[in-house]
Amino acid sequence: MSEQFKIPKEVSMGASVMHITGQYELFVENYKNIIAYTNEQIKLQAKTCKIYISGKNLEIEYFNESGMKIHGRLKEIEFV
Amino acid sequence: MKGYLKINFTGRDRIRFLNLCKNNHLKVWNVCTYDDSDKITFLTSLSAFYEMRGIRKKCSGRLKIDEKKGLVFLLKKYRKRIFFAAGLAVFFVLIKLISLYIWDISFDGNYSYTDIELMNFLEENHIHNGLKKKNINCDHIEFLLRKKYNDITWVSAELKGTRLIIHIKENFDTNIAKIEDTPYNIISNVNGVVDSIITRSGVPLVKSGDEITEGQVLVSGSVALLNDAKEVTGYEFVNSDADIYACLIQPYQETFELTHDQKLYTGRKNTALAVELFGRKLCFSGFSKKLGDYDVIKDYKNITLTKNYYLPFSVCKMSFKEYKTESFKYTEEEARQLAEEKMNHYIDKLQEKGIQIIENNVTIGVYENKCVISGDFIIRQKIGKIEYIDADTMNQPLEDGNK
Repeated sequence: MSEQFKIPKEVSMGASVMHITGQYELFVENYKNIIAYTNEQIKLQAKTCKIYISGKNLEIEYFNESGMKIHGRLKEIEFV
Repeated sequence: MKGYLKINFTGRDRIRFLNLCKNNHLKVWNVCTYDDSDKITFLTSLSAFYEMRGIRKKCSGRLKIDEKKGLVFLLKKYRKRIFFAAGLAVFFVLIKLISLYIWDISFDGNYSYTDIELMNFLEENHIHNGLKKKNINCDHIEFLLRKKYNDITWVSAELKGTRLIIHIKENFDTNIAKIEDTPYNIISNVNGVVDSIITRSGVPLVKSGDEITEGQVLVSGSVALLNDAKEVTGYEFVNSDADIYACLIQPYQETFELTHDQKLYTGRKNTALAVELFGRKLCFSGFSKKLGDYDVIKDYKNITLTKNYYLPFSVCKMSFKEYKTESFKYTEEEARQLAEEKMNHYIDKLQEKGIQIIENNVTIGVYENKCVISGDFIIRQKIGKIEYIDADTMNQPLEDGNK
């Protein structure tokens, strides 16, 4: 249905959108909650899945209801 | 301006705390966590911090302010320092007062007119440093400059901070003003021979090869109107416009003495520092050595707050260099070299004005005590100046034969 009307999936299904800049910056949209936060891992709850972001010296530059910007050396992004 | 706080949250439910901040639309940034403790640090605004205190209870943790940054906190910290506050207030008042005046006048785009020449002209018209900004009428300055200097085709006076910047565009092509209401002829301003003439408007009265004298009409601004029978029925008066080049003789003579005084610096010098306040100079250091004859080298530096915020203070570093004068005599070779340098300098100046040198008939003669450079150049240059047509001439009725 959404494909037929060309509605973006982040709108119709609430899928998360991520913008990655090199190895050091990540912006996550459409997340619900923070599950865990350490220097090496940030776990986020999205609408349909969990997102595990692993790396080194991870910092939350800012976050609000629309998105979260993460800064640090990124290694792995996992959808669980 | 509003300031922000660096907060330290300690408690087991720190993740819950962050989620609650998000859900309550509290602005939080630069969140850092520490692996060895259950502590997080973050930055937030003062208003958000007050709202966080309710959330803190739910998360059973402790909120501690690590740092306060911003003007609000700084003012609060120094609120008891009356003299500091008074000084600050005086400073701002002074800055405001100073900004009501002009402390620098600069020119931009001028080539043939020097800054000093233009500055002197403005001073004659009572426009100088230290004048109140509200008394400055930029339109009037533009009008004065355009009226005085015909070559200046465009002027724009701009007030920026405490500066008056005058942008100028000069006309290099021709010295004939083109925007005139009264019709005019072009007359010769030199004696010579016409080399070429291209007329755009008006009736040319000379042709290439004609000898001309100063004051002779070259292009007439009165154009005869003819009927079918080639009879003059009237005259139309126009602004003449033409490119006229003429060849003429430019005499040149310069003499200089072979014996001349030359300054020899002894190496002894004094330095002094002076401060100029509102046009008055205050010298801070006196002479440490007693000098004979000396040259003064002044190095001015204007004190500015920003690029366009000039203050009425300037620092001047003065160096006094002692010299002794000794007489020397040029050898013939040196004199000839100097004479050639002077002549070349003169030629360069002519060429800068767009004058072509066709023939150089200058000779250099070195005599016992002096060197004489004399002769003439045959030059080719653009000529012509405007002569307005009298109202009487324009209103004169046609002769009977022409009616």
